[in-house]
Amino acid sequence: MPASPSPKPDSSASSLSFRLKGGLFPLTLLELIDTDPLKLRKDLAQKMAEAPAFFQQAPIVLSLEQIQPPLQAAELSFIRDLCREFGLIVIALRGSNDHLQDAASAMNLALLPASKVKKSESQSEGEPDIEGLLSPQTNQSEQPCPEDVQAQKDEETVVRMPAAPETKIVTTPVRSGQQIYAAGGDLVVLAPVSAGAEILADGNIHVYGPARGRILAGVRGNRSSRIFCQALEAELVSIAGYFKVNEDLRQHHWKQSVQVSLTDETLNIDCLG
Amino acid sequence: MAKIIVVTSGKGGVGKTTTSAAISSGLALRGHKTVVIDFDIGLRNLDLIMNCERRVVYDFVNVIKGESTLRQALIKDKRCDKLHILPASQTRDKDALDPEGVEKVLNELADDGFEYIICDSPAGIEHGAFMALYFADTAIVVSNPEVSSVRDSDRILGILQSKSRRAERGESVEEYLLLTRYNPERVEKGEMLSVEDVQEILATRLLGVIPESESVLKASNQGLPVIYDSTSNAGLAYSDAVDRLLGEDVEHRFLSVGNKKLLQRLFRRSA
Repeated sequence: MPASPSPKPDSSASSLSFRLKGGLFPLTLLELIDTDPLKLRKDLAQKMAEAPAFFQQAPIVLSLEQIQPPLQAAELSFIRDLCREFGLIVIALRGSNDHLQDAASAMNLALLPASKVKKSESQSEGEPDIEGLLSPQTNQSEQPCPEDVQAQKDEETVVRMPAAPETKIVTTPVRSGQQIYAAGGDLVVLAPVSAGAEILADGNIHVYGPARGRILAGVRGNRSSRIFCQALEAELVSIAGYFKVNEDLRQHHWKQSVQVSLTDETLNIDCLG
Repeated sequence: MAKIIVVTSGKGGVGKTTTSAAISSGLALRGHKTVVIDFDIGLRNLDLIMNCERRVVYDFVNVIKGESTLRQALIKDKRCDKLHILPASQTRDKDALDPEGVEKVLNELADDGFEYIICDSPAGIEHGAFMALYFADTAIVVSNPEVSSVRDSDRILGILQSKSRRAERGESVEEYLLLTRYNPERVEKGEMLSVEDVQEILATRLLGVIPESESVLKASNQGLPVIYDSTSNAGLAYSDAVDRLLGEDVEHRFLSVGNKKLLQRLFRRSA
């Protein structure tokens, strides 16, 4: 997720074929606690099942700081492959020991310095426990504070801005088999969403066209998020993990303009206008 | 500039090869130098429908592997000299196609002065179908008026706009819907989806509606593309579709029962 679109090179610029720029990217930290391969696979599978879209081709940093005794090269390679199997791309290691350095460079993994506070137990160190955000039933109000990777040290660019919620706007039909996820913000679709398609957002979802697929708002647990659609024909609607399927939806307001909201543990579907 | 058109559907048996044969013949009959490529490696059919199966020496895979030249593998159509056929291999499987090889052949065809390159896709959404659609500028999505076929067409439209070369470059593939095996009488009885139903689900420009017709089966068995049969509604509907593909504004016909009966009466009178 680039921080900003790169500007067009101006004519006065040098004839270099590239330019180096600093950037801040949100990354997920996978902090290993146990290296038992079977348990790791089982736990990963369970976590992936909860939020499949969140993990699709997601770059992650693997933290080995909690692991004792130190990891062997073969184990590292196994964990990297296991992550890949679940759609996670390990791009860097944190807190690796000296004898893993060769293995890491052979696997094209970058090495990041260990965190300043060793073996932090609480999440108040600027590394929130992302698990809490993923389990749908928890009401987490604080914003995730992403781990940063700095490509360039430049004091002026390192000013941390609070991430503004980004709205994703889709103008072409979302077809069967397609999945669109608006991470960290709202999703607006100005076209039909076909049966068999899936649209997800951390915030609200608006569909200006027939909404026939699966529509999931507040997938990271934001219970105040809502769904607005012009014609409700969905296979499933969900807010923060609370859902209704097609069979129930057909009972009320079918093919009408509605908004879907959550109070306590009940999904409300109300006509618009 | 050659225009690459893929004829695809997702679902099998909806009329992709019949459509490829008809559209490519139609374009060639209108004077455009056209080639039709069979991408269905291992299930070669196009040559049967085009009635050139006895003249197949080399095939698409031979050309990709460098075992023959393109010129050796291209078969000139006997009815229209503007049309060439590049048959599929019957003995290999679809993995024999690779993007570099396919691109090389397409570029060579474009350099040879072909205006239209029609790619007849295999069914499914696997490697073979992907190879057929990857380089397409335009897609003709063939669908039957039936729920599962429409759903598969929707899926293939999604793949076209996300996985094709044009999509990767941030451009869009021009997409058309061709509805085949349409039976207005069954639509009226509520046994079949109507054009409007399908249009509402797919929201794609309609290239044509081909009525269900015995002449299609007859044409396949005789090895004569149905577009040559100017006495059949299916042939006429394909002809209209080719005109629309070339940018003409032609009104859709054979959509309702009454219309069909009127034409049958006209034909009976003229016969």
